Amino acid sequence: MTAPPRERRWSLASAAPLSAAALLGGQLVWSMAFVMLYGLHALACALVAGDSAWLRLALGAVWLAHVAVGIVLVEWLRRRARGAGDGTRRFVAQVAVTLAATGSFATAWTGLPLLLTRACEPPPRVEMGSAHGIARLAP
Amino acid sequence: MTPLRRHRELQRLWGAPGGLRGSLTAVNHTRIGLRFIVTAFVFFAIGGLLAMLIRAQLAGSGTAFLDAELYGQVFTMHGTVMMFLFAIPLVEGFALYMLPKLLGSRDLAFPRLSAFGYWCYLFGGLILLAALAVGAAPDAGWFMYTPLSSKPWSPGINSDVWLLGVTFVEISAICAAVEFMTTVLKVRAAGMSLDRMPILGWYLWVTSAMMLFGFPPLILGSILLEVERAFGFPFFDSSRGGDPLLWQHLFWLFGHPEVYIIFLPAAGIVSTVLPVFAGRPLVGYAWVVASLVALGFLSFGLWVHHMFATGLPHLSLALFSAASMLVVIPTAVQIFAWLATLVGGRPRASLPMWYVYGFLFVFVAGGLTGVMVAAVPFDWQAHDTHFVVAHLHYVLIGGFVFPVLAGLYYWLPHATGARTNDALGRAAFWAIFAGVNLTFAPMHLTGLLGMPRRVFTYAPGLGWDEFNLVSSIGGFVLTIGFALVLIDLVVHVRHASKAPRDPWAAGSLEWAMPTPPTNYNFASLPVIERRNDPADARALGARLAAGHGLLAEPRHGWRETIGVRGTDGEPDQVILLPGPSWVPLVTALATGVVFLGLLFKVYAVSMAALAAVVACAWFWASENGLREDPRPVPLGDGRMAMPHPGVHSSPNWWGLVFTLLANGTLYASLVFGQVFLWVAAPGWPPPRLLPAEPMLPLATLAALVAAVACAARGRASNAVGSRAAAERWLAGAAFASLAATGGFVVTALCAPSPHEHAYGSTVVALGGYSALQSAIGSLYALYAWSRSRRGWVSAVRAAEPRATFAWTGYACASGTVSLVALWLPPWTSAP
Repeated sequence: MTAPPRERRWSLASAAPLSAAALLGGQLVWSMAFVMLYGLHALACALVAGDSAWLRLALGAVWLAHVAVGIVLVEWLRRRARGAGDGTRRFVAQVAVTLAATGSFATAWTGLPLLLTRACEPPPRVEMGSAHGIARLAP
Repeated sequence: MTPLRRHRELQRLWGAPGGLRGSLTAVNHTRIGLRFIVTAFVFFAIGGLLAMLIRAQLAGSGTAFLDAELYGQVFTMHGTVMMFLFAIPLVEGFALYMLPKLLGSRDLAFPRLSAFGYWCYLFGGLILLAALAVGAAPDAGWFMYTPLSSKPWSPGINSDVWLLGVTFVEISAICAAVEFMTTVLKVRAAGMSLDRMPILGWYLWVTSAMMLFGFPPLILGSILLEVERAFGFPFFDSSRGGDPLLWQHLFWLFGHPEVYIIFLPAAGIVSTVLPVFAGRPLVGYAWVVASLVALGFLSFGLWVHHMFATGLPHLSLALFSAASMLVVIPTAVQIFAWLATLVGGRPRASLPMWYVYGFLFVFVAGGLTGVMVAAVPFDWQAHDTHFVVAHLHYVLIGGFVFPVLAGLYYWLPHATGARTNDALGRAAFWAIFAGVNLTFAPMHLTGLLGMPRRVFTYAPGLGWDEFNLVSSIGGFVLTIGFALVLIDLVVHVRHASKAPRDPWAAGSLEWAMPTPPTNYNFASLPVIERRNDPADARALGARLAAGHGLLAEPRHGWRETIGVRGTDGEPDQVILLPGPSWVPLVTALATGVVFLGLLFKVYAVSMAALAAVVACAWFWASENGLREDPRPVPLGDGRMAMPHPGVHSSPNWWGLVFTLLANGTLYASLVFGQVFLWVAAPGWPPPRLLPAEPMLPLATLAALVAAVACAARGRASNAVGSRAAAERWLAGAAFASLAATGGFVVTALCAPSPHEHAYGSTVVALGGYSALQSAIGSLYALYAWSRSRRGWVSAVRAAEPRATFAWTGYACASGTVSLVALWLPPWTSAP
């Protein structure tokens, strides 16, 4: 009695040269950027009172690092896709490049507010229920 | 074997006994799927009647038809029924019915789980309906915002009914997610590689992934709120270190992906139906697949756009606003793919297509107002007004109900084997289309004029009367439309003539079978050579019925279907599926008693029922397996494949992996909750922390590591055939897991009072969660030990030791995170 031959654990790997991580990589980069930006920002604003240029700089660095990783990933996947041949491999390669490109764009777009607003500024107070029930900004 | 004899043998093999026993023990996906669909439509009718009550009440100012209390129950139940008892279960039922037929298999990966999911859905739904019947229905809005839903403001049983009833129902959603993920990955026809998969398969796959990650935060939030209401743990009470915003985060972490969980299968119907009537394949298949995956990710970055008015910092709002606008792009890719398919084809009119056109109009209108409310300044103006009600109904009716009706009319001949008749259906379509626009278009204006949501009446002279009256008239037109659909269905089922196979000339796999479908779907299983295979479903159906496919000869009384490698669709196993069983029903009943005990605060009953659930789960797992090592069996085309008990990447293994992913998501939400409270809630740091004790965490860590190490040795010993050694290690893993459970229980007992401050509550929650994981790990090890002792485990049949290793590994990883989260604060703040 012997063990069955060890199979490939995750079968997307059988569509080498691309793995599951490569297929979802671009979107994972976006997810990571989003969680890092939102989480770091929330933590920093809660723990360090007031705005700081350093905070915006740090958030900007996190953002640009993720954009850079996304761009590198697109280029790497594009090169590997050239040798992907036909059929399933080609399809997986195409989808991976598309997802990486859209993920990189999404990362760049999501971080744009860093350039436009101050980091920890609270929103203006809103009063609800005026004469017509329309919300008004409090003076 | 003649086709007729093959049909009879397979029909008997895959069928259930007759009568009531057969109904209660059935596990067949077609039957369970149809049950889900019919039950969901019954709940849809109930939700619709509640909507009529709402519109009757709001038709004019100062109406005394419903009082505030009853109105609260009616609108809460309308939302709850439509979201949790209609939309999600309909998605589940649709996927249950369709997936094996689309993928060229005979059933889903876990048929008994389908049946268990249905019973949970039915019993949970009945609890909610019973509460409505006795006037104790939930009344704090379908999203149960705290503090309104907290004990001081909702002292009755109403909110408990929601929290427990909906959680009970959501068990079925998690079961469905695990089952669909595994099925699309493993249970497909030979040769069905990723690029040859029907586009609807992709839609349902992404949907189930979103369910897997989307539902756990809601389930966690419901557990925490119920614990707060029942035992006074102040997770959401800002006077004791809790925060009502935590509920909003947890709810919308689920709630926004939920919108896409509902929309994507409906869009999948459009992507399937539209090309058939346009007469050409869907344009941009790969682009659509990429846009689906992107949607799946992006939809988890939008939840705060439901919280724009909660006072978060500008930048947080801007990040979520940016992501909310971004999600338009993958949606637009699909819409342009549909338009290009229409332009490039020669569209022919049919009832399903009318609903597709209706979908395009109504959904795009809802999408455009969605872009408006994604902009923070506009959202502040429209927040909590009827503008949002109009937007969400345009999106949900346009994006879900219209495609569902398109799908209903498209696949009705499949389920019944009878022709549809357009005359009544077309009248119903126009009533529904007119009704939707008449109801909800004026609601944008009532909203912009400032009419808030969730008010049971309003004063005259605010300019709202006329618009509300039009909305109410529209609501009744809409109801007439749905009533016409119902009449049409009844006429269809009773009087329609027999339809030919593949009446729309769709040429897709689900039509290459007898209609109504047989118990076994395909008499022999197809080999897929290209996408949109076959072009001629009737010819392929005849060939498959004649046995010119795989697994054509029934053998050993096995229910067989093919398992494939995920990417290229090469067969790698023969999956043996279980037959009719009482276990799903009995397990669901025991689960129901757990929930009823919690609802009526009879905790001893709940604990006893929980023990029964564990016993059922043990028996459930024991029903399967082989006493002898399997050998590869012929598929029928010269190829051989191993039965799945002898294969590592079996559906059971993947089911466990996906269960652990859902479990991990619930845990991540719990850790997020603790960090959120620590950082954002008022009243922190807490007055007292855990004592800075070094031995307890170290001993717990040692037990966690010992458990996973023993499980690893057990697995390795079993793999080389040393059964006795494997059993010793598995017993060790069971004991070590039990020791880790004890460590976490003691930690929870050492916590400062969980009633005094939310810190104590989070310690008990984290400790309790990790104790539970280790306890389950112990049960896994014990089960593997017991199965090995009785000869069900060998080097080839190694599922149990491998599963034990996986679970104890998860318990160790998550437990270590818990130890850090629990003990870091006291250690770092110790003098």
